[in-house]
Amino acid sequence: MIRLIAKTLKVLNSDAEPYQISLALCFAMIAGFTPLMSLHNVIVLLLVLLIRVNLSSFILGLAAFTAIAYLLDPLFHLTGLAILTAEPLENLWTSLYNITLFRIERFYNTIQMGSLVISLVLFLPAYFVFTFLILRYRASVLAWVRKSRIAQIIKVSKLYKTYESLKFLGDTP
Amino acid sequence: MKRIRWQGLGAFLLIIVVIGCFWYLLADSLIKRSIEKTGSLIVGAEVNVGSADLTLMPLGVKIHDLQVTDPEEPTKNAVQVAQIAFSVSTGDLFLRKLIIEKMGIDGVELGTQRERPGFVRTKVKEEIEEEEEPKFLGFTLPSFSRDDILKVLEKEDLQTASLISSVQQDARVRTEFWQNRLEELPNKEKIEQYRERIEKLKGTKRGDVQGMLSAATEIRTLQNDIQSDIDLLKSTKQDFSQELDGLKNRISEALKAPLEDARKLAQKYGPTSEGIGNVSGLIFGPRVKTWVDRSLWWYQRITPYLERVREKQTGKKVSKPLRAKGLDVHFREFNPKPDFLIQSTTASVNLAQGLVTGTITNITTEQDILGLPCSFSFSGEELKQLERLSLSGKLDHIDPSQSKDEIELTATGYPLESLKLGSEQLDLALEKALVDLNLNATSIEDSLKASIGARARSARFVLLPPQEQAMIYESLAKAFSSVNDFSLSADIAGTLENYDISISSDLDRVIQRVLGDVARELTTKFQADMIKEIHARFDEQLSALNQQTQGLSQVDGELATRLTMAQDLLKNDLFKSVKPGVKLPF
Repeated sequence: MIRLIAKTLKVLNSDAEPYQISLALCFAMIAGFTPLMSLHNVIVLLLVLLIRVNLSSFILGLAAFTAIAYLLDPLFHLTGLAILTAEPLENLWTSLYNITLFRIERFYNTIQMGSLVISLVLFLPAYFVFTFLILRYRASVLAWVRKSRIAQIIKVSKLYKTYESLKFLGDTP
Repeated sequence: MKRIRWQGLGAFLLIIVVIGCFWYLLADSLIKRSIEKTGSLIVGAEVNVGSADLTLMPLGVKIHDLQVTDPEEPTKNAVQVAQIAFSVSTGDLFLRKLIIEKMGIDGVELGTQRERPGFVRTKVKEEIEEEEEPKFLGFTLPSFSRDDILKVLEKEDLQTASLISSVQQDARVRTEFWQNRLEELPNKEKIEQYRERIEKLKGTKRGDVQGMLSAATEIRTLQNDIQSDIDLLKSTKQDFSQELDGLKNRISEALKAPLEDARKLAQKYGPTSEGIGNVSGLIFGPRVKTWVDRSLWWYQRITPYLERVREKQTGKKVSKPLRAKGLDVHFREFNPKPDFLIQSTTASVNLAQGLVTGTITNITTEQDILGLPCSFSFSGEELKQLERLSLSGKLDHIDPSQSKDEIELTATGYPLESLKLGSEQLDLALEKALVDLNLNATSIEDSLKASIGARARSARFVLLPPQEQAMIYESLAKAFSSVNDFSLSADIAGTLENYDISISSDLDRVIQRVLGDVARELTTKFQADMIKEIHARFDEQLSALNQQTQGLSQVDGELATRLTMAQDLLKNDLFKSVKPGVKLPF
C-alpha cells in the first residue's frame, strides 16, 4: 500500500501529462462505481491499457472509487430504477433485453444501470476538474509543500524513502 | 508523444487469458462450494459434494457423491447421490438463463450413514413439536385402590345419603302429624258415648206414635253420627295407608340406593368401553402424524423454489436476484424462457428392495413463464420382497395464486419391519407386516387434503409390558397377537400449518372388544368395592330406616281399632237395639 501511494505521489510530482492522470482517474471512476465483473469494464480495461494513460493513477483511483461506490449504492439504485422504468425508454430496454450481448452486460440491474449512467455523465466534467486540480497542485501546493517543515520531517520517514527508491517509475507513465 | 501503446493490447489479451485459466482451474471448486452453500440454505442442514467437474465441450457439470444431511438425524443422510450429470445450453447461459435439457441422477440412496454428523440449521423436531398434545390420544385407566374409592365417595353427592336423610326427616315429621291427627279423630271415648246413647234409646218407652217417631228420629241421628265418623276414619286410614306405602317405597329405594350409587360411579369413573375411544388413532396416530409432519417439512422447503419472488415497482416486474445487489427489472422477452429450467431428469433410486427409476420434468422457479407444471413419476417392478411401487405427482404453480400440488403413492407388498407405534400409554411395535399402501394427497394453495389406505398382511405386533396398567396388558397382548391382517385408513384435512388426522381401522373392533371385556371386568370389581364401601358408611342408618316407620305403624293400628269399633257399634249395637218387626224409617 505504501508503495502504491508512493508511486502515485511520484506520478503527481513527475512530468507525466495531467490529462494522462485525469483520464486514468475517469476510467477508474467507471470501473469503481459499477460492479467490477461487468462486460463494459473489460472495455475499460482494454482502453486503459491501449491508451497511454497513467496506470498507477488508474489502480489507486479504482480502489478509491470502489470504496465510494458502497456509499453511493442507494443513489445508483434509485437512478437505475428510474431509468429502467421510464415509459419512453421501455421499447429501447425491451429490444436490448433480447440481445445476448446486453444481457451479459446486465444493464437491467438497477445498480448496474444507475452507476454506469452516473459515471458516464460525470466522465467529462471529472476529466476537466481532475486536470485543473493537478495543474493547480503542481503550480502552487507542491512548491509550498516542499519548503514546509512537515515535508522536511517526511523526507526522513519510511514513506519518503520508499518514494525515493521508486523514483525511476515516475519518469515513464 | 504517442497516444496509443500497442503493447497494452498484448497485456490486455494476456490478462484475459490468465483470468480465463484461473477461472477454469477454480471452477470445479467454485461449483462445489456453490452447491454446498445453496443446498444447505434450502435444506437447512449440511450438504456435501465429493467433487464437481466442469466440461467445456459440451458445457456441462458432473457432480459426484452428493450427500444431504437428514435434519432430524444428523448422523445420517436424507439423500445420497452417487452422480449427477447435466449439460447446459450455452446460448441461454449468455442470456443468464440456466437451461438444462437433460439431467441424469444415478445411485440415489436414502438414509445412508454419514462419516461424521452434519450440522443442522433448522431442526425438524423443534418445528414439529410446537403442537403439544395430539387430539386423538387419551384413554387412561383409573386407579382402583381403597383410598381412591374413598376420595370418590367424599367428592360425589350420593343418592343413598340424600334418600336416608329425606326418609328420616319425612318419617319424623309425618309421625308427628299423624299423631296429632289421631287426637282430632273419633276415639274410644266418643264410641263409648255412642254406645251410651244406644243404651239410653233401648230404655226409652215408645208406646204411642209420637214416642215411636221421636225414637226413630233419635236412632237416625245416631246412625248418621256414627256413619259420619266411620267415613272420616275410613278416608283418613286410606290417606294414611297411601302415605305409609309411599314412605315404605322410599325406604326400599334407599336400601337399594348403594347399588345404584355404585353403578353410577362405576359408569362415571370406571373404564367403560365407550371411554376407550379411537384405538387406531391411539396406535397409529403419533406415527402418521410424524410422517405427515416430516413430509410437509420437506414440501414447504421445496415449494418456495417453484415460485420466484417477484414484485412490481412502478408497473415493471422486478425480482430480487439471489446473490447480487440491486434489483433486476425484467422486460418482455421475445422468446420467453425461465431463468432456471431442468427440462427432464432421469433418476435411479437404490432402495433396500431394489432399483426404482423415474423421471422428473420441468423443474423451474418460473412455471408462469414456462406454462407447464413440474411433474414426476417413479416406479419399481420386480423388486425384492416388494411387488410393486409407484410414485407420481404434479406440482402446478403456473398461477401462483392458484397453486395445486398432487401426489399419489402406491406400494404393494411393502415389508414393514420394527415400526414403533402407540404412545406413552401403549408401547406397541409392529414387528413385521406386508403392507399394501395407497396414498393420495392434494394441496391447493394453503389447504391440505390427503387420504391413506393401507392393508397389512402377515402382521406381528409386539406389546411391551407397561409400567402401569398391568391388568390390561395381558388381554391386549393376547388380542394383538391374534391380529394377522388389518386395514387402516387415514384422512388428513386442514391447512399446511394446522390439520386434523382422522384414523380408522378394523383393529378398532378387535381391540375395543378386548378392552371392553377388560373394562367390564374392572368396572364390576370397582362397583363391588364401591358397594362395600357405601354399605360400610351407611349400613347403620339404613337399618334404622325401618324403625322410622314404627311410630306410623302404631298410628295405623290405632286407626284400624277405632274404625272396627265404630263399625261394630253401628252393626251390632245400634241395629240390634231395634226390635224385629219394627222397620226403621231409613
